[in-house]
Amino acid sequence: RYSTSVVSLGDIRHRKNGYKEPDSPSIHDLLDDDLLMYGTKENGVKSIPKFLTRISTSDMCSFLGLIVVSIIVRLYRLDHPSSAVFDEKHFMTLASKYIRGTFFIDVHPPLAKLLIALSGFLSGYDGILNLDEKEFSGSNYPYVTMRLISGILGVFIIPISYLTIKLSGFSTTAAFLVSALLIFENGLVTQSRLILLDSPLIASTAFTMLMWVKFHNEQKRPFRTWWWVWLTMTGVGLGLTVSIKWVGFFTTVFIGLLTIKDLWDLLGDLHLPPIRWANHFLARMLCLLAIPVILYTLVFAIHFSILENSSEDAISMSPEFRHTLNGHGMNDTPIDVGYGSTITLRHSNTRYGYLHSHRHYYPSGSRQQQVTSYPFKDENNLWIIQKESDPKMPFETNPSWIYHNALIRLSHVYTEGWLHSHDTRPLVTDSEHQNEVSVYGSKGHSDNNDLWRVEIVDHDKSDPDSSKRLRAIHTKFRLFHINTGCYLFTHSTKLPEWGFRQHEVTCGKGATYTNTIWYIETNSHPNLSSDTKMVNYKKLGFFGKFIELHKVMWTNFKSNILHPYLSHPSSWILLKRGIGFWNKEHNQIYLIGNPLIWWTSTLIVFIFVVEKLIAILRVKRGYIDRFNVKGEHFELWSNVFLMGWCLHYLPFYLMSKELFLQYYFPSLYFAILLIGVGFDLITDRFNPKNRTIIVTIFLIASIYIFILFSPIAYGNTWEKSSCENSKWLSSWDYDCDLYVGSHLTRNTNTTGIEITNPEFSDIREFDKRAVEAEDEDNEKEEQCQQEVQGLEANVETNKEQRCFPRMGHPRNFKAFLSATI
Amino acid sequence: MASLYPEQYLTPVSTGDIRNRYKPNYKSYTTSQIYDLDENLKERKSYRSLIGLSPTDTYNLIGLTIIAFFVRLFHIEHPNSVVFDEVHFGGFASKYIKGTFFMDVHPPLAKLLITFAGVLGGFDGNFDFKEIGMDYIEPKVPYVIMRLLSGILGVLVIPIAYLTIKLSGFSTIAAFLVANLILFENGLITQSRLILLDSPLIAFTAFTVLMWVKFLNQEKRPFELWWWVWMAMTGVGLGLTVSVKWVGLFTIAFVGLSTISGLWRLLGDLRVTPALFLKHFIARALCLIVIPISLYMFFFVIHFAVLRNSGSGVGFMSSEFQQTLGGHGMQDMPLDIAYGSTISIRHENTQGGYLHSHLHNYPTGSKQQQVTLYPHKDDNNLWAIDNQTDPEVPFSETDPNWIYHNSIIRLNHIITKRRLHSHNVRPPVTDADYQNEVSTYGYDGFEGDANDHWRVEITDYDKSDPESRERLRTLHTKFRLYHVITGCYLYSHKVKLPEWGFEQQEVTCVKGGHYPNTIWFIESNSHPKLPDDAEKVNYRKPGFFKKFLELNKVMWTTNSGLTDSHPYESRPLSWILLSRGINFWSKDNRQIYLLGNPLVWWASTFSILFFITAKLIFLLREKRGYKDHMDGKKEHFESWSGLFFMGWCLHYLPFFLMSRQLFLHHYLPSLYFAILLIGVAFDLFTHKLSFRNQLITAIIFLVASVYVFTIFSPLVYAGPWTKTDCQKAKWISTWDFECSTHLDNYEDYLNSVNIDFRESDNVSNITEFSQESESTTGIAFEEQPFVKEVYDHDEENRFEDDVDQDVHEMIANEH
Repeated sequence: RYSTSVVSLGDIRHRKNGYKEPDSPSIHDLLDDDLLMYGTKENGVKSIPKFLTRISTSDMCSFLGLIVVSIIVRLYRLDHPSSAVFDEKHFMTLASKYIRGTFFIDVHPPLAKLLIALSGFLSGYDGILNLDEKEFSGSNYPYVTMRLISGILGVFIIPISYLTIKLSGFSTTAAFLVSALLIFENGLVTQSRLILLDSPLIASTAFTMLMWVKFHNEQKRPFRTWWWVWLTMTGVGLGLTVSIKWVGFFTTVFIGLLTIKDLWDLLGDLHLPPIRWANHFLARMLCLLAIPVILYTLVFAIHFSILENSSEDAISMSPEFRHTLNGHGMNDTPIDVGYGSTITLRHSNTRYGYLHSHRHYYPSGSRQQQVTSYPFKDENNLWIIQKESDPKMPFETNPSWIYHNALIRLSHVYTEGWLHSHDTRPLVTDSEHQNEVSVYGSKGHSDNNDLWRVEIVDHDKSDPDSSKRLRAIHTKFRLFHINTGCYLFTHSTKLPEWGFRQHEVTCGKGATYTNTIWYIETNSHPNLSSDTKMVNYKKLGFFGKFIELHKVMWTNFKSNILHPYLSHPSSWILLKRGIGFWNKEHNQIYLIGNPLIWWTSTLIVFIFVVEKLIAILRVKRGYIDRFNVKGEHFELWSNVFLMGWCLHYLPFYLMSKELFLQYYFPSLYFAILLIGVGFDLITDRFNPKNRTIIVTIFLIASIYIFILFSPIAYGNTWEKSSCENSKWLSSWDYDCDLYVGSHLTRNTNTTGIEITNPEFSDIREFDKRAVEAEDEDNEKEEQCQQEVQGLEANVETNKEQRCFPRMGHPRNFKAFLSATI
Repeated sequence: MASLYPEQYLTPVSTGDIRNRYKPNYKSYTTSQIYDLDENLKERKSYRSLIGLSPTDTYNLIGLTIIAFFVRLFHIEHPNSVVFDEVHFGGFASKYIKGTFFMDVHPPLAKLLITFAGVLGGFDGNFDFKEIGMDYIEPKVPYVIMRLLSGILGVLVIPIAYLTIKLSGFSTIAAFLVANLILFENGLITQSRLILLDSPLIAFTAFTVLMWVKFLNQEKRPFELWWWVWMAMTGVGLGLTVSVKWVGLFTIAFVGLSTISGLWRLLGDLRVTPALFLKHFIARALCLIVIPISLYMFFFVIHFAVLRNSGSGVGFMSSEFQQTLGGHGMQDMPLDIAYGSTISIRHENTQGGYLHSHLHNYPTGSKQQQVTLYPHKDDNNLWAIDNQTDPEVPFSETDPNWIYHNSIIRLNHIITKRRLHSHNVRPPVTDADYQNEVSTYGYDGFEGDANDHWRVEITDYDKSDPESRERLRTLHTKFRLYHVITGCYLYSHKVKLPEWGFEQQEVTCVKGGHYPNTIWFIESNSHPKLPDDAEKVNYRKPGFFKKFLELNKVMWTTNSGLTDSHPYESRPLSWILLSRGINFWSKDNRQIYLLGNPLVWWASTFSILFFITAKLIFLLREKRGYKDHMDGKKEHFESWSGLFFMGWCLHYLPFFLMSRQLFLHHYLPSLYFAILLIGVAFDLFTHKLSFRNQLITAIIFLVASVYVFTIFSPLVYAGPWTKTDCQKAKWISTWDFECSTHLDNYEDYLNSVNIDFRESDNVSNITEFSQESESTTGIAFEEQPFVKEVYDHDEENRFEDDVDQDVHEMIANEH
């Protein structure tokens, strides 16, 4: 019957009526919307004014208790590792740069770093940091105050999470459970004790979530004061989050999706006239889009105003940008360029700099003099523009400007050769459509391969002359090689050591357009009068700087470094591996979560996902599971938190960047919130006493495990045996050998190294001795080598055989190996 | 799923049920307009078979196919030299014929087909397609028949497109229009005239879509014969597509998503019992998963069967794999390893090769002798295992000195007599805190120091050889080497040393962490005192599945590693606007440049935009309670345009996530779907017009497209063109075909035909000129010796050198 009859989507879905009358109302039954507003009493009792907290006294007690406990847990021995842990050195350096006002480039937005710098500044840090020194103790580095920033923000998330659970309508027990779990999560504790960005990030994410919950509770009273307040605060939270790390963008997406859902539902309500809907829309745009953007730019404005001085990092910024920094300005240069002018040519698309040549030759190919692109000012960057026909064109009273399509030759001032190209493949980019560029010829000798045609492609709008003829800085042009039909080109490829790692310059046919554009940066002409018009770079405005810095940050952000503790997102949820932050003598800090809490949170997430899937399937098969109000409430909030978890976790799968365990923490926060929801859902029908018992048992277990792993969170001493015992998973790779235990005897036996005193420092000393001895031996060996070479110097062929016996391979080998990556 | 705003929350603002703003004025839709649907099932029964066409359709199809033959195959022999990627695919064909192993990032089907065509034409494989512009005529390469393969598959796309539109229920005019637009799409023509993979890919994709459309039309008659046929054919299509290029995975995703949505609808139908649903599910899994996978593997079976001999690609493969190829075997090695054995140690996780040292020192750090990883067999890979205390342990047969787990050893480099050494110095390249430099250190007679001590930690062993778990045995035992004093493991990774290290792979000692990169095994082994009849061992030859998996893994990593820049690469965003093409070939004042027909291309992009906007508007109107039905055709339009749009998305958007180099021709499968959408959009726009007006509109559009096609046709056929015409054709400044290569007027081309054999006058003139000019003036400069050649290649490495050359080229030019 099924196979032949037309299968249509009938309307006979209502298999059975699964709807039951709701049970007698409980605290979760939010039929009366006033109950939803936590703490507001409805029955004629005057409601407490809607202040930020609105907390009942019993809540207040547990609240305060939690804060005290968390302060103790998070700030205990905050000064302990008195040396730089993990990335601390990096952020300390950046803080010192803020204090001294020297420009730097980092991959993260500035807010958290500004806070760290501020705390350092307030405690009297002068910004002088010996970079090689990793020890803070005994110096004047106020590292404890700087760590306090992380610490205090880490404490903040405890009350925030409490309120979040409470205000989204769950029980006090659940709220208590969630915040207690957050206190005793080893990973969060470790993060919040160090000068890192993660603690501020998690705090602001949590804050944003809380504000959105408050806003959501005001949903029924649109456009009233508190509606606006919470909406604005959500926007502020978003702005803060994204100004700490770009990962905060996930939070923005999260809130954004919730808002879109919200607006979509409003749109479906035909009672709502379009104008009113537009009001809703605009209000949200204003608060959730405009405010964060303004905040973000504001933070950058502060960033720029503090970093006034130039530094090495500024080399990767454009000349216009650098012009805004102190100590990196350029002198004004005459604007007019004529035949006979001495110029420096600068590449416009990359920051690799000036067209450069020096008295070194290509090792193969034409073996002519190298031409490179070199980022620093140097006399070897100077070229003279000369006319096609007559190299020694005198500068006349009526100057001969260089117009579009003019043919020129470029003479290198120092080596007196000519910029030259020919049908030879370049050494590095050995491809069909590239020609080698060299300097060739001598003062009187030049050939047709030295001819370049000037093609003006862009000019400064304020200077119409520059569209017709070459003018310094204003005119952007390409140089077309007449004989081979290619354009002067450079790109990010570097020459090997023979080219001093400068950037390659070639002549490309059909090469990337933007990489063939050059302009003249400096310019001088002997016959030009001294009162000639001068020109300089335009100073970039704030937005120009803002955009440029972001481009550079983005390229840095994408670049990968190698690190032994990289991990893949799929390993995070199972806590397969931590991160070794620091180790020294008998102590170490190793970032790892509280396994019980971590795995419980993963389990809860998993349970909710399965539950949602089953619900969807059942709906599709026509079962009507009509939830009562309580059910819908659970459904709603578990959806929200689950979405938060997904959006802070899943995008990492798409990133090809290197990833670390700590990126999971925002997700972990949402997963732990879900534990609260799950707890309420499961213990819904239990009496309060049993619920308390369950919570207590779970909490005690968590605290026990927290204590078990606490030595590696705080960097305390540990027993070797208990360290070994705590390795529940073999992939947790903290180093138990650091701790004192019975292992030394084994070592002695097997290595045969004489260790009289079973102290570890001795092994190190031994090592030192070994190194010293080695240095001596090195000298001996060098002598030996020299002798050997002396002997063989006469016999050239022999030498090759002996010194390079069956050496590997020349150049192409690189391609082979890179292919196997 | 509960709404975020349950009704209780929203008293003033509720999503009530009063949506029906307007009473629906719903006319029933006359289904007879739709081809191949139920109502006229009986009368059409006669041609419900494979073709099922009305006479008009048949005429149209035949006409279109004939025109397509002319347009696509016109002077297909013309550039009688190697064009663009013919370098690769022609080269692969010659390697297939010779049976030498090669590595390519694409699955084998299309290349096998090309080879087959070549064999039919009598190609003996003795032409290596080394570079673009090499002449075909002289070595008698049957290139025409190889190109014909692409050409004929390209022609097939046209009737397929016609049928696709027709069978999905749109008008004959729309079908005719779509087929013609594809016919006159310059980009598709260019691709289908050359030995490339894109033409087969597009043909198979189009075929799959057609089969899927047939299947969807049969959806209401499940488990009947034709239902099975079309579904199985879809599976076959998918298998073929994915065996041509991995881009075919997008096609699989497309059909997969469509299947899932079909199953989802089926699930919602309560008359379908779970058992029946399961049957549906299994049928689809069988046809759409099992068939493609078996086809895909089948082509690899052929691939392996053809490529028997070792060749340029072996460097990518594991030693076990190489063992299966002729000419690359390894001799059997003694199994037992004792103190005093001379061994070579191979890195397990990378293909970097053997632990190697040579008489060159690190330029920085300790300045001691370098230790690297070197992929080729060489005497510098040999090490002697010494006991930690006494280098000269006597070997006794009764009580041999085996090396057990946790033994401490020293490794003595045979040639330079130095020992493997590490110390607390940062390596020169990976300058990180947790890395120590590894060097060889000492001299003959130096008794060594404690920094030469390494502890053997066995991590894995061969299941068939339990002894290899306890002590070192050749090949079977996988182990790590722990540096006793600094507590680090011998490690190597895919970071190359600079030139002073001859670009070999870096070896360091790494602290902390369990890395797969710290695992080593012993490949060759000899001991002077070991009897000749000692137990021998060799690599186990992997079976088909192992080889298949390994090759696919290597293809994947190579594919994603293609990040070199190429002058004609482009990013996906530029494709939809056709902002740039690809220069394929240029010679004799003619050129081939891959560029679409701008009119067709932009129209297709427009139809995509149109679809998105229309969809959004419908969605919004529906949410606000308006009911649109468009004479009942809305559903029909929506479902088909949705399907084609999904095809476009799935063949286009994933490219945004790829970081490898991308080219315009990667967009062509998407373009096919976009052009199908033009047909849908045409019907939607004109569904109120009379037949005559529809026809007129279509014809105007067609004439315009053909006109634009002729403007750009010299770029397709490498035909004569004048500079002025060329300049005029540069509608967008970013189209960078080179106009200066062309002659000034067409008569000059006639003349140049007469002197055909003095080819490339201009070009050679210029180069001659430049050589001349150099030789006259450049004498003084050539005498400057720069850097002496440091060493010569060893004779034995020449073969590998060629390998690298090939690989290098492949990486540089692969698309």
